[in-house]
Amino acid sequence: MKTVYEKSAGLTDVPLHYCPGCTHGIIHKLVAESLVELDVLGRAIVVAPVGCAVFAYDYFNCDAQEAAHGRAPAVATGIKRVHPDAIVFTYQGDGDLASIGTAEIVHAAMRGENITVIFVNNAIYGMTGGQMAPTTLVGQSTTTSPLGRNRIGQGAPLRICEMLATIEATAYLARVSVHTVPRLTAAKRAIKKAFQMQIERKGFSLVEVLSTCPTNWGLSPVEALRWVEQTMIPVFPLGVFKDLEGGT
Amino acid sequence: MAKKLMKGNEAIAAAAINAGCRYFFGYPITPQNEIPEYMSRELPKAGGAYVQAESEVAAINMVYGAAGAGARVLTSSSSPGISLMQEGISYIAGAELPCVLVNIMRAGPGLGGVQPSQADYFQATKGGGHGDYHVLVLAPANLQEAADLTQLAFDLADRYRNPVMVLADGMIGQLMEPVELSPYLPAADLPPKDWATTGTAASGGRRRVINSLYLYPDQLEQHVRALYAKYAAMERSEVRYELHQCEDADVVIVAYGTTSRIARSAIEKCRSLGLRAGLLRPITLYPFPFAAFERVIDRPQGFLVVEMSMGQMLDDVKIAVAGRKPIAFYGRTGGIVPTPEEIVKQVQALLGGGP
Amino acid sequence: MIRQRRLRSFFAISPISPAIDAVKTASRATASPSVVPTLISSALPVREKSPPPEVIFAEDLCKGCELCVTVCPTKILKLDMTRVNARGYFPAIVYNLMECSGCGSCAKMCPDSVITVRR
Repeated sequence: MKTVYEKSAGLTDVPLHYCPGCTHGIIHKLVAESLVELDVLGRAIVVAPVGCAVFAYDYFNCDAQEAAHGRAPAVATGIKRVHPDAIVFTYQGDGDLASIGTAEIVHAAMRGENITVIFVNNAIYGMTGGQMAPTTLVGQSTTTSPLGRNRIGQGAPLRICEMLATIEATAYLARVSVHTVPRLTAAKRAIKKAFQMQIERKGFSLVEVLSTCPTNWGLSPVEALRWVEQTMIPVFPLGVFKDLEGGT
Repeated sequence: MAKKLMKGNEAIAAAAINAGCRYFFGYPITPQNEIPEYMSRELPKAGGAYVQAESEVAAINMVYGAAGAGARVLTSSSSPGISLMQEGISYIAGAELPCVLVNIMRAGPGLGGVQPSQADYFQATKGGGHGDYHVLVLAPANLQEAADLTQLAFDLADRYRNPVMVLADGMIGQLMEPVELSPYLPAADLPPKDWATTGTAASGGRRRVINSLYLYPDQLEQHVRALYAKYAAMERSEVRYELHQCEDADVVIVAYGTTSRIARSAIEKCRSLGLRAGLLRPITLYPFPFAAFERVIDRPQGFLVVEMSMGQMLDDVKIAVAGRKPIAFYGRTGGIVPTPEEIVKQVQALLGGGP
Repeated sequence: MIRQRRLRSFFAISPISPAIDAVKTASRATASPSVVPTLISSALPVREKSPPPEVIFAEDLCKGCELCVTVCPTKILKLDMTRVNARGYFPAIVYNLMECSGCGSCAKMCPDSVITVRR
């Protein structure tokens, strides 16, 4: 008997606290598996966000630092400057990265910090109970946009990959999703490539992962997967937005 | 190393490098820009890294990351920038990380002015971030002391796993004086940094987590009480102050930093006028030198607190004196630096013009 | 403690299931996993069939989200609505292991690393 799939050694034994069907769990697995397969788990240091993934420091089987809300890229900068050979990555949600942390992510990219950012975009603020995020879709109802996000006064969602692609010192920017097995397989390839960029000291890499939030979207976990496909991808197109090595 | 004529800001930066600091994260703000500028020139030569952050908010979080990774790290700013750093300082204290912070105070509140001030005393000693914690605060009065205390700060930070602040003002930052940087060795008994995130392969052991989140109240209370055990140890062992001519003083002036230098000149003038004034100069603002007051409380008729603020250290002096003697206050603010003559006038008014 | 259920063909269905599944099970109850059901004519050569994949659930970690159910290409997973696990969720189970291709899609999709697949 050969193992087709088993739990990654890149994860600890701590059971995940995420809601049933939340794709944070899938994304954690892809990151953990990538670190193990690239043989860098012993060099890895994760910077945890404030958000549903605040306990990421309990789940990844490597050294970790918990950051203040939005500041993970700055914390990662500090760590990476001290340990340039460590594989330093942040794991951030859309409030952490695209709202309070917008300056930090832009400037870490600007400086070409040799870190990897895993950006989990679920178009809402999960941990705090479903408020509007910068990535919330126009018309999407949240607890702070109860009538649906209004373009007037509340604007339209931020497309982080496209924004960061204008920054010269970025090495790899990709948007992926995990709502089907083929998509999560492609997402893992992108995540591995992002880490590979860091290993090769090519610069700043970021993978934006479209994720579900069944609880705050008011959908079942399976319905939430469909919502990513039908409603999020048209607004947040999948693809590679920057690749120093060319190709897709 | 011979004495070198240096600007205060540069002396602080040079002392930090001398003490083994190899990482600086900061942002330009008047009147401390010579510190990041010096660091940007010298740190790469010393094999370190200078990062100009996008804001003071980012800078203090870079300090958190680098400190958590086990390095000696410095940041500097001035009052409004230190305000921005408060959240990060609270996190650093909560996560028990060592770092040295430099505040070259300027006049506030708000955008205020760029001239010297001492109006961040409350911010430095009573918070200014959220939660129960303290920063160890050192207040140099001249450039040599600024350099010496900066070096000491790194040892204190490592010993107590706590942020340490060097609280200076724009006068100290901008003055030029001869400074000698003697060869520096860290204290031999500093605890090893076996908590720093280095990657499990490098540490060869269990994975390490730097964190200040404790969602279970009993755990958080236990944690905070442990922090306060550290602060109690600081209060026992790290109080520093100077008494100058207090043995026969009729009025003891209480002042720190630049104001204490001016007070020293004023005391000389007072003495020549037959007025017996002395100086009680706190060097650590936290832990506050309450013991110094016990040594002098019986002698003077009263105390005169002089600050470049509307009266912040004044509150701690009131606590120290505990109603036993009267306390007068003289303050200038807005960036105005008092002259020795102004202080002499205050002493004259208190002592009725001399014998 | 996380209970693990190792599923072989004779445990492939839950106790209360549609009658047709019960019939299928009964007819295979005595079959060894490695042998083709005996209904094939003896005139033909008997071909060794490889054993079905192992699909192991760390059941108490399951949150009943049904992501595995939805991605399974042969539709052999479902929630066992007759009981709850230690967390209070209806756990996912394989109800027809014979149709399992061992693709591992369920395991790959599971956010909680509940499933191990071997073949």
